[in-house]
Amino acid sequence: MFFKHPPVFSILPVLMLLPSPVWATQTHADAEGLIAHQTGHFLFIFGMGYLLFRLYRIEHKKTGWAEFKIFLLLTTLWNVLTFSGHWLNEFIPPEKFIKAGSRTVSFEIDSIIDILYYLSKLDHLILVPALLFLLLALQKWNTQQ
Amino acid sequence: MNIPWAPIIFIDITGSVIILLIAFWSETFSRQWTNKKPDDVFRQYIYLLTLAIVFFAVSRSFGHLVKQVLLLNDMAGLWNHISPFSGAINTVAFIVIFAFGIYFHRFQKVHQEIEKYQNNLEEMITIRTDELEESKLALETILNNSNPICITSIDYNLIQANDAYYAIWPQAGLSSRTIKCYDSRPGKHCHTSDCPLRLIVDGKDEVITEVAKIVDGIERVFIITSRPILDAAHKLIGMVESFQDITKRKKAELALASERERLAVTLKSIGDGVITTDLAGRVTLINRVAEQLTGWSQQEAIGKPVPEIFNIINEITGKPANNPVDKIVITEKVTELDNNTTLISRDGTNYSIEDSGAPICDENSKVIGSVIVFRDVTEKKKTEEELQKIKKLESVGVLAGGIAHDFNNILAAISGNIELSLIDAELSKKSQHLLSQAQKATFRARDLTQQLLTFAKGGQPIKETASLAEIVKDSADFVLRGTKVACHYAFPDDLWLVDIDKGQISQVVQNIILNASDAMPDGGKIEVSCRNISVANPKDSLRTEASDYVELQITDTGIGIPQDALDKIFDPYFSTKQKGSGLGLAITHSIISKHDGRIDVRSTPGIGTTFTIELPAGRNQSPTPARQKTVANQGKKHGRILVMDDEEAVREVTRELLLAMGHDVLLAKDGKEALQLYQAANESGSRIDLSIMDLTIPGGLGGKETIQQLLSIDPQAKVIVSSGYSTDPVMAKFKEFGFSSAISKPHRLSDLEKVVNQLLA
Repeated sequence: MFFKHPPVFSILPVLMLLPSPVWATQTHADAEGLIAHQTGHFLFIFGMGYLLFRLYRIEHKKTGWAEFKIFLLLTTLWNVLTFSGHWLNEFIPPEKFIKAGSRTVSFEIDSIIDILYYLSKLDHLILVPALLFLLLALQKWNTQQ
Repeated sequence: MNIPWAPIIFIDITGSVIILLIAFWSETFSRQWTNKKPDDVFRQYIYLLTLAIVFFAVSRSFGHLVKQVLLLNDMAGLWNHISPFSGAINTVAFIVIFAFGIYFHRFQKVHQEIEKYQNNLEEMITIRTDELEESKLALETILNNSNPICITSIDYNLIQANDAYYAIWPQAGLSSRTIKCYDSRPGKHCHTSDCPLRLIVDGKDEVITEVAKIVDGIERVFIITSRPILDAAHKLIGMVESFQDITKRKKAELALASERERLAVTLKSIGDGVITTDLAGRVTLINRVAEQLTGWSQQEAIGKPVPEIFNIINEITGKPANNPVDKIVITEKVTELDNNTTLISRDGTNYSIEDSGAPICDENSKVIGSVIVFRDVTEKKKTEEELQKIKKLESVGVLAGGIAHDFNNILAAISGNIELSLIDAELSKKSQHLLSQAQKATFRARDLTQQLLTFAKGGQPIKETASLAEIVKDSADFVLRGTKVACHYAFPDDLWLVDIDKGQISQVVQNIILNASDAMPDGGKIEVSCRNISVANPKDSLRTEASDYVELQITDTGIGIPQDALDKIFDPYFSTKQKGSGLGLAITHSIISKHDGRIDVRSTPGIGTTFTIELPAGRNQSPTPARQKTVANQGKKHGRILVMDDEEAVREVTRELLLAMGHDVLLAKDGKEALQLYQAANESGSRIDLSIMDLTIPGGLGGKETIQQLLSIDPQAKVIVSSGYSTDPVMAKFKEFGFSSAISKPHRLSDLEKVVNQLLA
């Protein structure tokens, strides 16, 4: 199991071998949530990528599988985008968000990072087509088989 | 540069809603697809993956919608509290999806393997299905080309039947509805406890019954074999019945039974004993005659070794004879039994048998047993021995008759000349005495020739109906007169009369009584008895014809006859007595045989001897009236007499005798000369008054032939027949042949004178 999936299971020992602080008993800081979420995205990316890799090698002619692969590809891209968005969010100062009360009404773009951040917030433009391809794949399978 | 945030909010809300819709829709499609093949592992995997994605999509979209709603309503603080939960749920969803992602390969492999197995299985199923189809076709072909067969459910519904079945019971195939077996094929066992299908339902493994059915106007007979149909758990699920048409077999069996019956009846009716055996020599069949002869019944004999039942010995050596079965089986040919074989029956009775044996072969000419056919020839053998004896006696008789005839002619010459010499008055006393002695000797010689002639061919009995009792008593008393032997008689009052020559039967009785008397030199007792015997069924007797007999039994208490002499006592010139001529019993046997009777002797040395004589009862049971004397001695008259004899010495002595009596005599050597002389005498007017003719003339016309021609010349002619064959039938019944009287040679002067005088008177 460990040797078959080295990328996945190598993360845990790396994290465990960090010199400080001791994770098992530490107090969970605010950043922990982001790291955990980003790790989730990373695993999501890995999982979809691996699936895509397998399907690329095996399934490429049968009905519905092209749509499913597009779904995987788009999902992977979505993960990369959102992962990037989460990461870039750390570099965006709160002043960039122009608010009217507690609501954000506009965003100040000064750099490429700001543009990338703004685009990352439009992730549904990838996620929705991705799920549509999943739906299409399932619909084809359901119809034909 | 400021960019409005509203597009992001809009896309976020719109995208979330769309994602929610797509998520639920995806779940529906995935579920439907999976449900189409619930056992498909890969579909299950896709379904689970879809669920994970749906979970992610719902949680994320729901979170974003909540976020936008809260933020749009200035509730950022609340969102700050909720967002960690939403993020964490999304993280979990990511991990779940990841987990599914990395296990895709595993699922795919399992799926492929399953698919492979499935394909193999399907291929196998296809092959098996094809095979099953072929088998089904083959079975259907066999079924429809075999005997009638039907399959019935345990509730007696006819489920399936083949064409042959419907050809016989067509009503079963006409109904579109399920039909009960008893409606399809009503029979006497239906609705009874003997119903074969009911018996199968009750647990029987096989039931065989027979049924007759008229098909196309012809009665056909079937054997029905009913067997259960069991499932894998050996539970009864139906019954199969096959119908074998045995009409031909039945007919063949009937024909065979009839043939067997016929064979059995034939075997029973056959007059010979029949025993059949197997190869091991054990009895397989024995017919009625064989049962009677062996003393073993069929039930007792079957299975026993042949030698035990068919106990045969060589009657000369007394040793066991060879087992005929061994010889038959080895040679595989028809075999005759050894000669002189005696069968010893179970009760010890001995039967002389003749037999033959033959192998019994099967259709391939292979020997499978043997058949022995034998018959009781005890009586036949006795008869043959008797016939042999008679033939021997006849041969001797012919010889003796010939000698006696010639001897009589010689004696006639001697006796006649002596008598003529004695007439001479000048003879001295001594010469007269000597001639008288010589004359007595000639008379004794004549008596001897008489005896010889009695059993010679010419000694046929002159039968008349008479009572045996009277003759027996007179003869026995005559013989026993002056002896120490007493005779006791036992004659029933209703004793049948017999057709006999009194003289010959008297001689028989005298011979036997004389022998009995000689066997008791110190005196004794003779039992003489007669009785009637009626043989109605010759099969139960040694007799071959149904007839009535009178049995005469003479039993003495004398010394008896040794066993080795018993077979020879009827042979001529065989005698156990020093002074016996050996002719007595030979003549006795000859006489009885010529009377169509039987004579038998049983003797135990030291105890006595019993002679048993059987004589046929007379057809006419009234006695022949006594012959009246037609000719009387009415005094002397001289006449002219013609003497015809081939023997010159006889002619001469007869002439001298007649001359001495004062007659004129003419001589002829044969019939031709006699006729010429008679004719000439008639023509010359010197008529011949009397003729004496020899009965037989060798090489010429004898008296018997001449008399007819003579009577045609002179119907009033008187002719005396003369012969050395004194017992010739012509001599006894001379009148029937045209003679006036008869005289035996050698002639005594007194006899000749008496006869001549009677005819000339």
